[in-house]
Amino acid sequence: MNEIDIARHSLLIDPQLHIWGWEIPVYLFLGGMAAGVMVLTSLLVARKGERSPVGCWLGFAAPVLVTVGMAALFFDLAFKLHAWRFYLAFRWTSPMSWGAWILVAVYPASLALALASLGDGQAERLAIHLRRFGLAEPMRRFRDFARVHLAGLRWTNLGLGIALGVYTGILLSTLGARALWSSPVLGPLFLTSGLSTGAAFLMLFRLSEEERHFLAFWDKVAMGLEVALLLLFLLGLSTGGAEGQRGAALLLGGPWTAPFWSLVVIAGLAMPLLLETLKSRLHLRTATMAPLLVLVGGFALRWIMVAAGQA
Amino acid sequence: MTLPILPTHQLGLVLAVLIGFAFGFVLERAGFGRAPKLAAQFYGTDMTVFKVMFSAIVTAMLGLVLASTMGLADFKAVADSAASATFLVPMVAGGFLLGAGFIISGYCPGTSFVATASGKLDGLYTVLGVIVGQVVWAELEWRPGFASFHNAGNFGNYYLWDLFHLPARTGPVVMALAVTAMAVACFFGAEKLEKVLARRASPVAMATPARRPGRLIFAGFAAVPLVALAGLAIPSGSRAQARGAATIAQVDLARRLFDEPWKVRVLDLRSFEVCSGKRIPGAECVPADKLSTLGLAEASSSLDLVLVGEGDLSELPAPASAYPGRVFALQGGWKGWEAFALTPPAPLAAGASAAEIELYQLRAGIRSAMTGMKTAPPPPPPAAAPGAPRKGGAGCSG
Repeated sequence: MNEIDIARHSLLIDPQLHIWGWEIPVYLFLGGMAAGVMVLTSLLVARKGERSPVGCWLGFAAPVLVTVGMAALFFDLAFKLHAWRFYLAFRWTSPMSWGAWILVAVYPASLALALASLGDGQAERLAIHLRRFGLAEPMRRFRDFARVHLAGLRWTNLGLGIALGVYTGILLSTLGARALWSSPVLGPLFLTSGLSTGAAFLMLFRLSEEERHFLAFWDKVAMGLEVALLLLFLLGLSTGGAEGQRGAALLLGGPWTAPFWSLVVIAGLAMPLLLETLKSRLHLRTATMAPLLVLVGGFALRWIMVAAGQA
Repeated sequence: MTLPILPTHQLGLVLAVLIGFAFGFVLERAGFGRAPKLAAQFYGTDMTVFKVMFSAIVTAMLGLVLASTMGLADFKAVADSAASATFLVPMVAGGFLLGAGFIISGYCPGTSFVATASGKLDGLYTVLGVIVGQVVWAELEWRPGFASFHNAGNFGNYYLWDLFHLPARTGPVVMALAVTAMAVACFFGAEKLEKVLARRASPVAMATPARRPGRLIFAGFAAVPLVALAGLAIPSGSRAQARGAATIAQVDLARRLFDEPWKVRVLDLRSFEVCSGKRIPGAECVPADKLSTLGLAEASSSLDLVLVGEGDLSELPAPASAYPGRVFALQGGWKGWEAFALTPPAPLAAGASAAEIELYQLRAGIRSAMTGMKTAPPPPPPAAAPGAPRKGGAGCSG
């Protein structure tokens, strides 16, 4: 008894419930957004019709977002110099191992699709910048390869984007001891949220009206699915065991109720959906506001899920 | 599964966000996200902002006054908590400064957010200006020289009926009637002014004169204070301003203080001197006349509030009524608590029931914890009736 009393005062032995700070929600948000960008750029490339000059460059958004997200993840690591050990093995039962390898595969696939999406003039401009690093010729060869295998690259990006988006949710849901995360719906929920935030991010740029319309359509589809999945998520927890009900209570009357319903449901889903739906009828200028609200809602979803799950 | 019902505080926050979006949307649709339309009121060519804002003020005022006379709300408690105290000098200066900022930027602080949401850069610059101004002032306000200006002309919560020395009961209704009459007169005056200056109006800021239904609605405001005035005659009016006090028994309070003290806040309303001498453990000494200084209306509703008077409280004080969480009055007040927790329980007679013994032990334990005094143990429970003699004597085979 004395031993237990003494040991419980050790921070290294006593269980600590709140161990993830800002780094993890930032990583999950940017990772999910990159997943959405990969899926949507694949669909944009497959679409017939003209592409805007800005739209051609947006394929590079996915690797940039993943890099910033991984930097946040790196900050969270306790032993930063040991990160390379992830790539010495592949454990198919470990979502972290899956994630590590998916993230590695994202880079060549998304860069290849981005290069293949560039026009000849745009590629030459990029080559001029890369010349000083001696990378102009390798870039041209890589682009030629990507253009030959464009159809395969589209499918690869689509698959990797979905895998990355689902992984960000599964990373949490496999930690079943946390009541709020113990739901199989989290994977699809984070995927649809990543899709909508990816579409919102792309819509912040100066795209053609046709591209914007295309993205707005997928944004609305993703948000509609997200609403349905959120309902399933809450219903699943509420009708489950006592642990699940305790998890659901955090968002249905508990301390995270107001932030969740205000930021995620109202600001991040209901308002953008309403604005996008009423836009043409009321001639609303929602070009910036609706996507910004979606981004706020997507970030709030990750932040609240990570923080409330550790409460 | 039970249907989730949000706690009041959480529901209030969610509703505030919804109302905020709706308010911004309506302002945008009314053209309040366009600087030319907003600035036109300073030139007298489009008084829409003036009319809308005055209508909003009058609507809120009449709703509150009417609800107050019907006993549904406490006008004074809401006004004290919703409106800031009157600081005459800085408020006059701030009013002029706000007006200058309004005409320079073309937006007031609220409409600048509406313009920003519509994608207007000038709206965004105004929002940034408002934020920078607030940060700068927050840095200056406590410094010597600025601090004396910041607190100059402090009248506390000062109302128009105080200024005109009207009675507290009828004053709000009379002033509501007067302000409404002024609003109706200003409404028609603004319409006249728009007509006179119509030729000077910019095409992007054309006046939007009220149509017949609008005039009827606005004129209808005048009728509401009359109803409110009549409401004063209703016997069950707002004189019962405070809501009835729910009570909590001493034993329940004691259990809560021991089991979950973090969920209860005890306020002792007796005089400070008396309370300082003896009080319930963890209780705050807040004399009844100082209760309004706690800002209970804005406090989190997560704690249950327990009020302790000298004896029973017949009704809750107004500041406590505004508390968003649950409020209880302690049964018997301090006297009841003293008799329950600080005096030894009467000894039990032999043969007392198990429930009586349990209550005795509980009270003895509470008294012991509160005073450090031990109480005599309860009598032993009555012995169980002996069973029938077993046949066949003792032994495992029987």
